[in-house]
Amino acid sequence: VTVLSFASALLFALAACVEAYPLEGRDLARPARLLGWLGALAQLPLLFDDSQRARALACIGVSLLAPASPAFLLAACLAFLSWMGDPGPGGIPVLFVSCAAVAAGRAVSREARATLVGESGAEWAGAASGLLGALLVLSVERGGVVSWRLALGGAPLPGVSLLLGIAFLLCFLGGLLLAASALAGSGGMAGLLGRRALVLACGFMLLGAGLGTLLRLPPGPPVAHPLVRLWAAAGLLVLGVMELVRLEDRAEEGEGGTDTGWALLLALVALVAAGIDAWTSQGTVLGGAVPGLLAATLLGLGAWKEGPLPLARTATFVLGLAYLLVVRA
Amino acid sequence: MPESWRNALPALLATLLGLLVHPLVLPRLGGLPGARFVLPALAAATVVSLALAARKPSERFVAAGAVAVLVGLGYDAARGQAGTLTLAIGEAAHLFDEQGPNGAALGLRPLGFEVRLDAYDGVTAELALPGGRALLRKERAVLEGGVTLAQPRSVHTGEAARLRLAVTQPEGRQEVSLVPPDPVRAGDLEIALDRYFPDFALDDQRQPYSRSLDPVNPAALLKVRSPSAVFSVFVIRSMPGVHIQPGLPATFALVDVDPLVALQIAVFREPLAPLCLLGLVVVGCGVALGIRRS
Repeated sequence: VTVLSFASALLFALAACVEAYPLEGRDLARPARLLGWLGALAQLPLLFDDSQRARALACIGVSLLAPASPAFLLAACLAFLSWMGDPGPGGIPVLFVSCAAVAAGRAVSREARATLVGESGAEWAGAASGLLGALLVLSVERGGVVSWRLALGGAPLPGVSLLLGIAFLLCFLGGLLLAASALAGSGGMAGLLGRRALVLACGFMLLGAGLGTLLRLPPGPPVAHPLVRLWAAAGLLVLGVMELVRLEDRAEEGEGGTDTGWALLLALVALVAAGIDAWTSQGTVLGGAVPGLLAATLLGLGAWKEGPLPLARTATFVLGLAYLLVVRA
Repeated sequence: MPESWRNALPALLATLLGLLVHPLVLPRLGGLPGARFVLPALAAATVVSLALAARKPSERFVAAGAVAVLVGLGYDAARGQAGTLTLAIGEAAHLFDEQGPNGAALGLRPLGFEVRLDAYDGVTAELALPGGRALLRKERAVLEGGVTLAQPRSVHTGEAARLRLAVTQPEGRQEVSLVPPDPVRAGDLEIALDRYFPDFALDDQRQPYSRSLDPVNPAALLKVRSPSAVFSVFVIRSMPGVHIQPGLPATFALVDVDPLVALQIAVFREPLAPLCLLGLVVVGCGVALGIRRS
């Protein structure tokens, strides 16, 4: 079960990345779908395990019915949960909110890329995303990165905190360099260095999340929630920043709409899961994370519908989801 | 209304409603005049705008689901009930203390059935319900007759289950346990509890009262019967032997108190909660349909 779930999670995550970032304009939908099928294939033996059947069915269904990046991401998270074991109370809503935040992060970046005018505008957006990325890294375990004593589930992870600390510094540096480049007139060395710093920050963030996952392999303390939040921060940073540093191809307006739809759908699933969780544990459907999730879902509905200020509405949706992951965590 | 406005209105209204009902904003709105009418009106306007702008099947699904969620939440807010039920072990009740939206007490309300607390070990409460025995835990609610019983927690009742007293007489010092309402004997003295103050204080008229139900500064007024007379003796844990009665050849000190603990259970009646969840599923189907079409 452990090996199959882990392999399946990796395949689904790879499928999500391949589908999200076609190389040099080449359509990689078919390879992504193939990776998704392989991930679903790895889930097949889990159908015979009573405790894993529901998740395995969800993984296979999602990856076959909707072979798109957010769906593969969701399937990867479900497989990851199968690998990690019991997520504990409130674990399922946290997982879906994390997926929704990543999808919404990509949507807001696409909207920004479509709305921005000229290289200077893109550099300002890159600067903002770098500084927001620094804040995002800082939010992991409530600033544990800055104090160099990051702990997931009570166990200190000094190596991970070093990687995340470097990601934080690179995000901050990249943001400052891009802001300096935008102020001095675009096209200078500062802009190039800033973008490279941001890409490096994404790499260090992914390395940190990967190392954190490997160090917390079961058996060990149940750390599904902190790991899910760490991966959500990494996904949000990578998808958000990588979209913005791709300056060469300007996105079409409304291109983020499908991602917003996916994010809204995931937020709705999280809301239903949180509602059932609150009803069966606290006696009322409006308990626990439901008020925050209801607000985030309404913001998502507002972002999904057509109307003025799409970038502002999508950004508000992302903030609503980030509040649930950072403040309510 | 122009077509562009009709299409843009749901987005703007949903965003505004999402901002207003956010947990960071909603508590600050509570004190504003008319806030209790503005939010329902805005929610209704959002749903109506969604229904009016619905052209595709996916949009109709979203509008239908939103109507179901609004009806469910509105009905439960208006006709639902919430409150608490406090039970000692072995005690039964068929009424609970209803509370309003702001925690204001609304009086006693019938549960519709009788519930008895058979046992409570600090984690799990064993309840006797018309449908049989049920185990209530912090993370697991119990549904009975349309009412949800949840969030069990120990509370102090403001009464004492046992008082440990030190009695110093010419023969020596002895400790006795007084379990109200039964008296206890210490030598030829019979001691009974007259009044108990878990958190003793004096008011402006120098009259004793209790600041809270928690045993922070416990004190008691004892009725001591000696062979010659009956005396009232005041004891307080923080000042042993403070009250000396002339003619009573003994001093008293309150050594410790075991407070009487009861179980407080949260009670909710939300008849249309399943409709809310079903409405969310329908909205989700509409969004999924919209994604598939796009």
